[in-house]
Parts: sequence; structure tokens; C-alpha cells
Amino acid sequence: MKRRNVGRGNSGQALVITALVISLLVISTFYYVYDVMKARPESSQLSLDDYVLMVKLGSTHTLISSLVNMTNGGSSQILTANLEAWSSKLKEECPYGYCLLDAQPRNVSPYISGFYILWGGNGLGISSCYATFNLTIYGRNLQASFEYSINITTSMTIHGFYNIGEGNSKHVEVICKIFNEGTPALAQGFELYYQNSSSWIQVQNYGLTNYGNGTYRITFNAYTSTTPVRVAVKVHDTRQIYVQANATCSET
Amino acid sequence: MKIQKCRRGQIRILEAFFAALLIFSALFLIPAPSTMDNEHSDNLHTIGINALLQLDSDGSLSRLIENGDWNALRNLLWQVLPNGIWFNLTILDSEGNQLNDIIISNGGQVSDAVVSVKYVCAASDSTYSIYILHLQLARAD
Repeated sequence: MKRRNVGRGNSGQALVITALVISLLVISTFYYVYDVMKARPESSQLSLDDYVLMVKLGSTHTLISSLVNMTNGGSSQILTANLEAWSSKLKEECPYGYCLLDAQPRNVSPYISGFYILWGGNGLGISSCYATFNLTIYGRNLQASFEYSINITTSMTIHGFYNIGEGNSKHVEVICKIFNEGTPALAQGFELYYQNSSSWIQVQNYGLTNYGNGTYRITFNAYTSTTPVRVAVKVHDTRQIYVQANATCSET
Repeated sequence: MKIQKCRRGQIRILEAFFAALLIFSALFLIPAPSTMDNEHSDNLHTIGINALLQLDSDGSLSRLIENGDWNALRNLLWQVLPNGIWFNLTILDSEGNQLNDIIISNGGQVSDAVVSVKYVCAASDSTYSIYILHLQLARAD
């Protein structure tokens, strides 16, 4: 009878130890799998954020390039062509499996084919480009969609004054302000013109003061019988986007 | 007899309790090398792509590529990347032809764990171009 009791007791202990070993294996396996699964999504999410930043920056440069081309005499179809090239290259070089960038130039007034050009006579000049984007990414355990729009705008305001000198001579002062996306910006390559009868005369010698905050003061002498004096300013911003504006100066 | 049975049961419960404690304490001894490796490479990947984003933000990256100014590009990368990181940059045009005719690197490789970052760069000047950049990074051991 005693032998039977000892045998039963040992069998129970072996079962308990076996159960403990199995549970140890199951738990450690579960922990390992959980740890690996936890690390992967963080990794892909981090790279996805970087990738989206890269795509947005490239889209911005695509719009700038198109606006530079168009305002310097290029075709208005350049934006569509460049956006197609950008989308196509992103599709080829997609690191996730499938990346689709649907880019649409804005066609709502005042934009036509993504461009809005206003080089008006009231002292305001606008060169603008606008497009909306939808980026869709499919990959292993990954599906994401991002919508964003980009507006690139270089604008300029001018207003001028003049004093009548001897004969037809007029001393003209023009204040010119440049903006990129609404914030003051620097410019280069100023060209100035004043009106004499029906023709525009380019100013060869002028004084230029750069206040460093997107504001420029330009002074020159105009020889014209036309009053009031009308001036035109043509300029490129630091991105090479061209803009121009005309204004009627006030006599002081 | 009843008292002996009860004591046996209590001992079993105590045994199981201590065994469970042993199991759960063993969990803390399990290393997770794969997680450490992922974090290490993710960090290098983030450093690399942030460096390229920084250079590309004002359009200087594409400007240097168009001018073929590889030495200036290498010096800029050297400045924006932290110390102790080896890099090697290869630039391809949209057709896949290599553009840089010299090696854009800061010396010999220092670690076997090399991370590769691919960057697609669009130029912002009037002649629109797209470049593919392959930046390899490794950390000093």
C-alpha cells in the first residue's frame, strides 16, 4: 500500500514539472513573438513619415520648377507634364510595394491649369501655382493615404512718387515689396521701365536700397513728358520665379 | 489522515506558486537582440534621410548635383551628419545612369552594419530633373 502511494505522488510531481516546462516554453515563445511584432510596426511607421516628407518636398520643388519655367516664357502645360514625371518616378522607386501619387493642377478660378498670373497695372503682380495631391501607399501590413495641397506664390506690390525737375526730367522713387507665400522675401535682377507717350523706356541707371526684409527702394531720373509718371518693375525672386507689376506714381 | 492530505495540498500549491514566480522572473532574462538591431538601423536610417531632407529643403541638393559640385556636396554631408558616421553617396539620373564621377564619401567603412537610404530628389529650376540618391551609412563600433 505504501509503494502505491509513493508511485502516485511521483507521477503527480512529474506532471506538474512537465506542465511548468511547457508553460515556460509557451510563454517565452509568446514573449519573443510579441517583442518582434512590437518592433516592426514602429520601424515601418518611422520610415513612412520620412517618405511622406520626401514626397511633399519633391512636390513643392516640382511646382517651383514649373512656375519658374512658365513665368520665364514656358508653356502652361509644363505643370501637368512635370507632375506626371514626378508621380511616375515615385511609382518606380516605391520602397513599400505600391505608391500612387495622384496630382491635380487646380482649375478653379482664378487658376487655369494650375497657374494664376496677374501682372496688373494697379501696383500688384502675382505669379502663382497650385496643385492638390493624394498619396496612396500599399505595402505588407501597410495601407496609408495622405492628402495635401501646395501653393507656390510670388507676389510684388509697388507704389511710386515723383518730383518734377528741369524740362522733362522727373525724379522717381519706387517702393517695392516682394513676398513668397505671403511672407517677405528677397529678390534679384531688377528691371525698371517708365512710360514715355506710348512706349516704355528701360532705366539703365538706378539706385537700389535693400532693407533686407523684402522691401526695396528704387530711385532714378525719368525723361518723359507723360504725366503722371507710370513705372513698371520686373524682377525674379531667389527661386527664379518671375513677376512684374505696373503702377502710376503720385506727384509730390 | 485528513491533516496530512491538507498539508500535502498546501505544499503543492506553494510549489506551483514558486514555479510560476521562477517562470515569470525568467522572462526578464530573455534578451531581445532583434529589437536592439532594429532600433540601431532605424536610427541610422532616420539620421540619413533627415540629412538629405535638410539639404533638399532649400533646393541646394539639386543645385549641387546639376553643377556637378561633388566636393561641396561631400563637405555639406559631412557637416550635417553627426560625428562617427561613415557615408557613401551615389547619385543616379532618371535613366539610372550614375552622375558622380568621384566617390562621395568620408573614408573607409568602419562597421559591417551598413544602412542604405534611397532618396528621390526633384530639381526646382526651370529644366525639371529628377535624381535618385543612394546614401549608405555605417556607425563606428
